[in-house]
Amino acid sequence: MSAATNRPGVDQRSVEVDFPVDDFGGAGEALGTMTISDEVALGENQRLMTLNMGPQHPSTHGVLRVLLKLDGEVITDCDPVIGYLHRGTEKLGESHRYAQLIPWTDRTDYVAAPMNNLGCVLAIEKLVDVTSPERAQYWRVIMSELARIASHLVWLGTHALDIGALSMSLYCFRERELIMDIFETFCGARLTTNMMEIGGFSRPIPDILPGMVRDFCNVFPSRQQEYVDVLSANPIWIARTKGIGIISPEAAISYSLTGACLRGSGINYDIRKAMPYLVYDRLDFEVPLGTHGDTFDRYLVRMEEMRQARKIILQCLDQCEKMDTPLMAYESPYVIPPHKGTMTTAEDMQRHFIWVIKGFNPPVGEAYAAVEHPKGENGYYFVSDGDAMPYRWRIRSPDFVNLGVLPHLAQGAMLADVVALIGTIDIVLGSVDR
Amino acid sequence: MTWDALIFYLLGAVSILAALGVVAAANPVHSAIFLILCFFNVAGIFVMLGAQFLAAVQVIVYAGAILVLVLFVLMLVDPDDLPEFHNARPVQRIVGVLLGAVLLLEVGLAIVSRTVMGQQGNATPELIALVGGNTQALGNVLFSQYLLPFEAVSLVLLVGVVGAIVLALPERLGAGSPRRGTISLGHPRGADQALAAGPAFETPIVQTRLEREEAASLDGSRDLIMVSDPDEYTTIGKRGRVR
Amino acid sequence: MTAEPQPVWLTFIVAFIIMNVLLIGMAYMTWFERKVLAAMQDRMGPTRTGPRGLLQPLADGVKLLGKEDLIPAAADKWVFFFAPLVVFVTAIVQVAVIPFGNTITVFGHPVNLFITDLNVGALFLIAFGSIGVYGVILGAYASSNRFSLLGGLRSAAQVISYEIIVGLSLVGIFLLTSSLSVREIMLQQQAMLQIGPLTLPNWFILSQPLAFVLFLIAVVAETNRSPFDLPEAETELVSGFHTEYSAFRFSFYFLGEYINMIVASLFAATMFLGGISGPGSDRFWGLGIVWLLVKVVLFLFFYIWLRATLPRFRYDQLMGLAWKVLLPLVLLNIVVTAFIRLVGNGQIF
Repeated sequence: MSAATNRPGVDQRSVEVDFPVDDFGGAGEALGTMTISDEVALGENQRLMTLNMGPQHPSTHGVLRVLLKLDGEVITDCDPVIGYLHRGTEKLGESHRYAQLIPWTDRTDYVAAPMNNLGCVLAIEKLVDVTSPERAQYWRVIMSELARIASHLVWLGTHALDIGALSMSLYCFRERELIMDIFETFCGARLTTNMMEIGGFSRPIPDILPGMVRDFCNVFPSRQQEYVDVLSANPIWIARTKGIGIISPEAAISYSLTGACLRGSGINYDIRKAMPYLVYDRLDFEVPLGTHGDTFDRYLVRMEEMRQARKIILQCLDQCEKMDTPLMAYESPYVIPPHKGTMTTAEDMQRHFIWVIKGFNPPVGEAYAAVEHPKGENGYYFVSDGDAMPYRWRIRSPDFVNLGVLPHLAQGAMLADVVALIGTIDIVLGSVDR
Repeated sequence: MTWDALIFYLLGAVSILAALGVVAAANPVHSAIFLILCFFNVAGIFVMLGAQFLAAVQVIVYAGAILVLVLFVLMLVDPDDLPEFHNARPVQRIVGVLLGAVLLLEVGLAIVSRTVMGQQGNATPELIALVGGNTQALGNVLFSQYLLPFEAVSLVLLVGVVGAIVLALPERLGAGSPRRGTISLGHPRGADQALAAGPAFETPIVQTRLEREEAASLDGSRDLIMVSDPDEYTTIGKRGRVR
Repeated sequence: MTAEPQPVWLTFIVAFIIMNVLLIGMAYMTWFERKVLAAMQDRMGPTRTGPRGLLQPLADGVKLLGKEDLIPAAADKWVFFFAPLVVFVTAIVQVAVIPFGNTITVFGHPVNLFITDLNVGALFLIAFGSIGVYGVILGAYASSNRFSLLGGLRSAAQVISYEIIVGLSLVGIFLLTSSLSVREIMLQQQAMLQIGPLTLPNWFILSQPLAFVLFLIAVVAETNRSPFDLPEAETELVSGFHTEYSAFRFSFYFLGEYINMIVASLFAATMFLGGISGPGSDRFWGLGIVWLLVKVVLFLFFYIWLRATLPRFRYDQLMGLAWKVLLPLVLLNIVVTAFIRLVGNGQIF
């Protein structure tokens, strides 16, 4: 993302002066020892300081590196440098079977792993034309909405911590812990859950799980009220978020933002409503839209999304507690055969073994499925040439696209606002770099 | 030699050495540090003279505030940008040495001939104790006898403040440009190229003044639009607001 | 009321005791902060080092001593070396004018429970409070780090602005007491105030409530504590001015900050809450010290409470608060106090 040198007002100025035009790209220079006299001259009496924030910086949410040009404390130029967490997930996918791709998705946006699983699984199901049973769909919605709350809690905690509200992060992680316990009970893992499978869920739902989810839903509103009490009534919080990082609706669309960044600017685009997947068209929930497009609006939108997520979870629980239908579409050849019998009968064991080792060969074609990830539109695109491994796999990660708006927001802001802006965009570098 | 005299000579010697350090130090920040040391010793001498108030004010105003601002500026200026100070032209050096010598001569003569001995004041320890202490004595003199000069000085300072604001203001009122303040006094290196219009937003955020004020107000309550229909609020209306 | 003269060696003993108590108090201030912060954040705080983690300050000290002492290659070595000492020394020197009681008799010797009774004691505190900023600025400069530089610049602007508020908020008290001596101001607060049926102590928090609030805000800013901890804002400036400091050099900054907090609390308690005054303190000098400690702990708790609750200001908001809100208020306070004083003296009307 070093498009900075092509932006107006940057390259024209630096052509004539005695430092390299590509002074942003000169990574070695910027990483070296900084001396105070190392500022660059730009025009008459205008001395800008280049500040290298990250990749080891407490507030860049991972290994994001932001190169800033400062005039005093005011930012005149901002260039996010990414790729420090690039693991080549998409290329790796071309040498793995379809079912083996799902664990890779955990590692993209690791604070909302079930949502990544879901997007991937939905795309594969679309490719091979499998529909998961209704009960599994309800449970998928429950898990993905829990993941939404968990992700928003991490966002809220770190965002508030960046702005200086120390205690918020601990409060948020306290509630996130309950969600992590639910995930652990459900699938055995807390962070990299790998819980969704092609065709539904192959493992039974633990008996205590609905009760745990219900307990969480009962306790959460009062806890959320605590956050509101700490932040929404706090003049410093309001002064630090209101009117900061305003994204106009045009800018939001032209930067192809999704998620709360888009809805905070008042554009109504929520995939759960616009292109309903799973059972979202049967659920009663509302989408919050901001009116000003600033950091405060995005804060309010995400807080409201947590309330709506809880509402969705309760509706789903009511539905699936009545059901006693299967969780897996075993009738399809593209779905892993049942575990039952693998330890006792040779046929079952062989079938299971062959499926795991050889995978399946989907029909030739391509499929794209997107889910409303906590951070925006998380899309998975598969191109199949009929082989057991995808010909091409592509992840549309919302963080990567949303991060593009940071230079736009940071210009003219102050240094302290940069951390607030990185927080409000809500990025996870695993998802940005993939 | 009494303890008082010993302490006085110590303070005096350190302040003179520190003053020499101010001139001799190559790094302007080191000069400033020496100056702080000098001020402290002078404050010590004030204390020995029984003028504790003056000593405290010396530390608060000179050491505590003015030199902080001096350091503030020095830290921002690259020493390389001060060629006149260190790599002066020969003419400047000769003139500088001459002027310094003349000044030294003047001060020396004044001390030797004792012509700078001022008029003996009436601030004896007894009289000061009578008004209640050196603070009270200073206050009485300052706000009665020297009221007019005192007010005149404050007026001069006011003019300075107004001047500083006027100098800083146009930058903030620059149309369309982001907030910026020049804090560097360094000379520009490289080409004297005028700044372009400055980094501009690709899409200006169109906002009325009323909306901007609302956005900046410290009221924590703000309503969200709650929609359940995906077809509402999907197009952009005029002025960038969503309809 | 001037203090009884006493031999210098006695003053040294009193000073020695006070300094040591202060250092131990500082160490346990870190423990107190951890525990209170933990309680506010649903955590346990230190539990492993001694009963209730009471040996945690010791463990921290040993850890800091054992760390590698790094000096950046580009650093200005001498300045880098003595900058932390400036913070530490100016912090600890301030306690010299704080009175911990009146003159008592120990083994027949009259002993003053204060180190010195300077007739400009309050100014002395303000002066050394403002000198402490040199440690921050010079440390920031010497580190040759841009984050530190920004922290130093912020600190310079912040301390100069808030020092004005601290000084001016006390002017009302100076007007009422006609004195700049901390001890004299404290003694004047030991009188009782009769308002109708109520008998209240003549604490200046009652007659100068606005000044008290302003003083408290400004003192939090001057000690660089949250929400005014911009010079060391971890999340933006990566600890700002002490980014490059490690091991024992860092611990001097750390010590200085905590001693500054304690001294500021002592200062506030003495100026506004009557210092040692409290029920029974005129009979037993020990009770007076206990009352002073209670007041100090209240202030320290307030510091920690703020840190656990409030987000951080932005630089321009911080300066705006000082110059646009606090300064007019503090000037108003002075004018109103002076007017009341004149009316009370019968000099006008």
